[in-house]
Amino acid sequence: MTPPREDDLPPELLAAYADGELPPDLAERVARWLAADPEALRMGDEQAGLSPTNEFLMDELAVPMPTPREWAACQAGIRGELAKPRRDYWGVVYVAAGLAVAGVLATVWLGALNHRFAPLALVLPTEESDEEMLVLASPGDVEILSMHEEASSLLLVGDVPWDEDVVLAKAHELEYIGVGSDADGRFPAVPTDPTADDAPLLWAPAPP
Amino acid sequence: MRSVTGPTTTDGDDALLARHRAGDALALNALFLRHRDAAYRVAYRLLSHKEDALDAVQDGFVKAMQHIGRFEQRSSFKTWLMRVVSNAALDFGRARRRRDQLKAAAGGQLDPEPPGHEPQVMLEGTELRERLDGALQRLPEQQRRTFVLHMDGGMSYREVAEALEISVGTVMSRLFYARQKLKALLADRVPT
Repeated sequence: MTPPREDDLPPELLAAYADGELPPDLAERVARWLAADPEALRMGDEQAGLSPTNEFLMDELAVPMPTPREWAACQAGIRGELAKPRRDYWGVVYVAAGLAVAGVLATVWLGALNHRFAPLALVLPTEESDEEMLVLASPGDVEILSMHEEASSLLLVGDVPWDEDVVLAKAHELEYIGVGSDADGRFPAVPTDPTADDAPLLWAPAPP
Repeated sequence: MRSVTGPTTTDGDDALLARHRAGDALALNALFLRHRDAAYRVAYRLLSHKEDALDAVQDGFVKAMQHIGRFEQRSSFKTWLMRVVSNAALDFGRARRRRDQLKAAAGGQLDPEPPGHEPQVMLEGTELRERLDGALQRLPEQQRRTFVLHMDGGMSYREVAEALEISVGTVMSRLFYARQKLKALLADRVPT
């Protein structure tokens, strides 16, 4: 049986060899390779020169360490930050998004009783982004009915906790499928051009 | 026998974390004292600025403790901390570059260097260190991060792999090519 050729070893192993990270059997193969191949030896020396095993290099590259006073300030900063009560912004967002969705569903359900429909969510380009967003509602459309006590401290009384529209998804995250009219013609077909300014995507009942 | 909580504590990181969760403030001190030097060296090498590096260590330590739930002890606390601190340092570096670019584009003058950034302080380091720091900035970010975690963080290949969630083979490959580039950039300045 032919033993494996040492010069078939990948050169990346020279890094691990220089750092002493190879298992003994593989390290022995690399050592034989280095003994037989001057080019591999040159590359191996380059790797060893920039390895933490090069004590002279590590002495030369020692970084200027902070003073005790600077360490104390850093430690005090950490303690101070960790002592602050954390604000769970995502919790507020989840609660608000849940309320908005619940509001949409309630509106759909109520409106269905009246068989009257109006566009609620539109695909609109936003000013800050080139991507179209599926806007679910504007802040004025949302009324907060209840909120977890921990999140309530973040709000001014009666204010919605954001200034932007509630965005359900980016346009490219959606798959547009045709929606035809129902038997009474109350559902117009959904346009397949999501960039149209007034392209209705979701329809909800209008208030009575 | 109850161990001493301090720089000489014999408690492992997991035990200190458990004591921290139980409200033992000294456990956090012990963790900080144990890992601050390596964390600072990593941050300094990624930023080349003393004050920014200290800020990155502080920010990284706070985030590491606040999001300790994500760590879930799948690796050691040290690898988790180094991951977060190196992230913080890279974020600081990106923010600084953006500020500098904006100021340059606006034709404005750069702010005076804050304490710790003055040229005379930078000159205190060796020439080789300054050249290595400059050469490191020219490496791709992930190669630079891998190199610094291994060299300055004192982390094994396995630990770097865990910290960056990559394979040991990828660590080896990044280190090999990072050193090849650094050697070329540093010419004959690297002692062997």
